[in-house]
Parts: sequence; structure tokens; C-alpha cells
Amino acid sequence: MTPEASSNCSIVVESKPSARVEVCQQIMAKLEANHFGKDDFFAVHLTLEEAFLNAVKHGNKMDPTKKVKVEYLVDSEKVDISITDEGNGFDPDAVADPRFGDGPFKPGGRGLFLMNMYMDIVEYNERGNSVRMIRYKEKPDFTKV
Amino acid sequence: MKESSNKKDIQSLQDSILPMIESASGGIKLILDFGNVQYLSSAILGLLIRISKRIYENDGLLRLCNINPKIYEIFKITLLTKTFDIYKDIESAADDLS
Repeated sequence: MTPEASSNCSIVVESKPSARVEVCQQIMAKLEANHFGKDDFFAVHLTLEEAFLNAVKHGNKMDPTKKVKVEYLVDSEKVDISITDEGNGFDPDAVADPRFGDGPFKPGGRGLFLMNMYMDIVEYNERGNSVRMIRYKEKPDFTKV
Repeated sequence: MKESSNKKDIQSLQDSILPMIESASGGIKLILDFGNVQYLSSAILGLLIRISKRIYENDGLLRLCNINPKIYEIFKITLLTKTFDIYKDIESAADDLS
């Protein structure tokens, strides 16, 4: 069975936590079709949920009239996901590392950290209301320019 | 502790554990067995920290055990292995509490 041909997909869903289930199912099906491994499934599932819930909770402030846009591309080499909310955005550099200070004793603040740890590339648009996350099946050598 | 991560499940987990902590006299000794947990989120980690705080504020003890390697990796990279007392299995966690 050959990997499924790559194609860009875009879906807009209601801004509510439960909407992530359908998004997750769609993307996981693409991972399966492209023979990603268990570690990739775990990482993408984890980070996709974190990013989606951030968009609903922090971006759209739980406003059910707003939407979340999810764009993704899965091919035999990588999974590339962008999640955009309708909020004002935020500065990711201003978010504290949860491992230091009183971070380990605070209930929140680990979502972005987990996204950074489990995806190979995490980047935001200038406004800060859209995150793009990429995970490669075979890790590229980022030390080579 | 069952495999769960959505808001409803987190709420029900919180609702089932927190009253138990509050009602215990002299501090509760609680072991959370992660044997069936295949997935974890930052929201669940947050709940565990809230539970842990409440238990220790009430002079109780909390132990986590039976955590699979992928889940343990999350505890490790977030340095929560220093926040929680984690044991290999329920027997060793229970021995420590006895």
C-alpha cells in the first residue's frame, strides 16, 4: 500500500472543545494512511488538542459564535497543521517556561511547552492568533544550513 | 483513573476526587493508578496539581503509579517528576504509604 497523496485540507469548526474530536479524527486518519508511527500519533494527538483548546479557550475566549480554522497537510514525510482563531493573538515569547520558578506547582501553562517539545517546528503569525506546527516522520538535520 | 481528556471528563474526575479529599479526617492517602491511561493533556496535569495541593494542604499524601513510558515522558520533560511521587506499581506505592 503506497502512502496517500498529499493534499491541503482546510476545515472551519465551531469554537467549542468538543469540536476537536472531528478534527483529530480527520488528521489521525491521514497519519494512518501515510504510515506514521505510534510516537507520531501520540505527539500529533497531544499537540493538536493543546493547540485547538488554546484557540477555543484563550483565543476565542469560549465564545461559541466564533470559529476555529484548521488547515493541514499530511504526506509521507511530515504532518503540517495550522490552527487559527478569531482572537487578538498573544506573544508566545512572553509565556513563561513551566519548568522553572513556581511553574512546576502551577496548574496551567504547559500547553505551549508540550507543543514545542513534541513538534519539530512551531511558529506563530505576527498577530499571534495562528500557530503552525510541523512534525517530520524522519527527523531532518536542523544543524545543517 | 480512566483514559480521558475532555472538559467533561476532567470535571467529573475533579468532582469525584476533591470531595473525598475534603471529607477525609486526618488527611487522605491517595494512590492514582495510571494503568489504563494512554493519553494525557496539560489540562489533566493541571488537575493533578490542584488535587496534589489540596491533599497536602489537608495533611494527606498522594502517590502516582503504573504510568506507561509515553505518559511518563510527559511528566519527565515538564519536570513534574519532581512535583509528584511516582512509583512503578500499586504495590510499591502502597508500601510507601503504610
